Amino acid sequence: MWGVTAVLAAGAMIFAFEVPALFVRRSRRAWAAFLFLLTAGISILLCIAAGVAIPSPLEPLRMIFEPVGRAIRGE
Amino acid sequence: MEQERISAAQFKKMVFLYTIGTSVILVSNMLASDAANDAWFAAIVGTVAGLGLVGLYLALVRLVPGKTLVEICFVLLGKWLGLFCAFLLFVYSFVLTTLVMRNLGDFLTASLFPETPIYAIHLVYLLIVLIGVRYGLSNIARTMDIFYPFIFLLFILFALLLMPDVDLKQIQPILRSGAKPIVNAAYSYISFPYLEFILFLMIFSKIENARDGGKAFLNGTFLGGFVLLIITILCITVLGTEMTASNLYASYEMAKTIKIGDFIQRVEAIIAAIWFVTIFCKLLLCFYMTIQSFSQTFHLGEYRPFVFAMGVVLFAISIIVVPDSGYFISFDRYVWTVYALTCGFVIPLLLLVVGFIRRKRNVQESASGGLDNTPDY
Repeated sequence: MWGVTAVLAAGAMIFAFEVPALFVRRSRRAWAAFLFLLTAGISILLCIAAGVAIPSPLEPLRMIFEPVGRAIRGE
Repeated sequence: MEQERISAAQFKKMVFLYTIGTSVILVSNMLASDAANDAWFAAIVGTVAGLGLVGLYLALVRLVPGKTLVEICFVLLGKWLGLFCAFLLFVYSFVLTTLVMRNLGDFLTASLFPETPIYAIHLVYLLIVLIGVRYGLSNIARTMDIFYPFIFLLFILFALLLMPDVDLKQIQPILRSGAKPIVNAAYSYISFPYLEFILFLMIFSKIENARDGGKAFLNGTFLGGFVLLIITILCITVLGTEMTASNLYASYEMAKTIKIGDFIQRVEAIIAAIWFVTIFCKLLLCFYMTIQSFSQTFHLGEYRPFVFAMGVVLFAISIIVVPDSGYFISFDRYVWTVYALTCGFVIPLLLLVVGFIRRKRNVQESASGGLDNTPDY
């Protein structure tokens, strides 16, 4: 449980730290990008902390490029 | 926000430290596992090809001067295709950054800190990098100024200490098994690190003098390639081909063999220090490129508010990105090469062709007295 708490605390700290600058900017795009990055990162970290298995994000790349790569190597 | 400028000399140091980062330990093993005792030859081939690639990137910059890579995509391909292309390059830089991070963690847990959990190492390293990127590019450039002579001295010291153990017979017989293994090895070597240099175009427009910048780019690549060549030759001649090909961290293993008298020993700390510093530089530059391409691709303006949020994503992904080292090796061999070739060669070549066609059309239209409809981005 410590992991989950630490992750949430870190997320809250980053949020509090960056929000003043974002308020000054008044850009909806910037808010959307910031919130997207932070929620994505925090949710993956929560999954890791809670012990949920997540497939590697490299899998799609591997599926697209591996056949070509093997063909180029001639294997 | 004031314009951040760097000098051409600083750019050269950046390219040099970037080339050495991660490669200094991994390259000799990668080359030797394909080309055996001709690994040094593959290193030369790879460096020459790397210089050719830098020439391609410089041609692209000359076509659209003063723009970063993402801006070049938008200028040449228009709004939607440009967005797609810029997004691909952003994903490439992001994946690269996570893999560099993971390389660092894997190496340190395997060699120096066997009982430290990998996320602790990532966290400590990432925090320094985040602070560095928040301070901005001119600050990063000055950091490179400090580290550059330090790395050079350590490298020379390292090479000198190994001299007594060099056995040149290990290189023979030269070119025994023909060209194919060499091409195979050079192919891996080009994709890591040379094809990654496309991302330096994110920084290139910040150099005060673009002409000197081009020279500095080539110089840095050459110097970095030279150091990697020396490391490879040392690995083969000191450790022997089989040891080099079977140790993932061959140059670190090689440093363990240094023993002069009874008082100079265990100098693998030197190579570990070179690795610490250069990978810090590489990670710093990679992260800077990632965050810049992110904010420019989505037109977010100033990148600083996203640094920590991006850091969280990076930290999370770097933990789950490779389940085990076998996955990593096969990924490097079959997937990363093609992926890097797509992003580092096919995309810039495409941009270059589109740029030439557009310029030609513009010249023709203005010559025939037609409207000069150069789009205004």
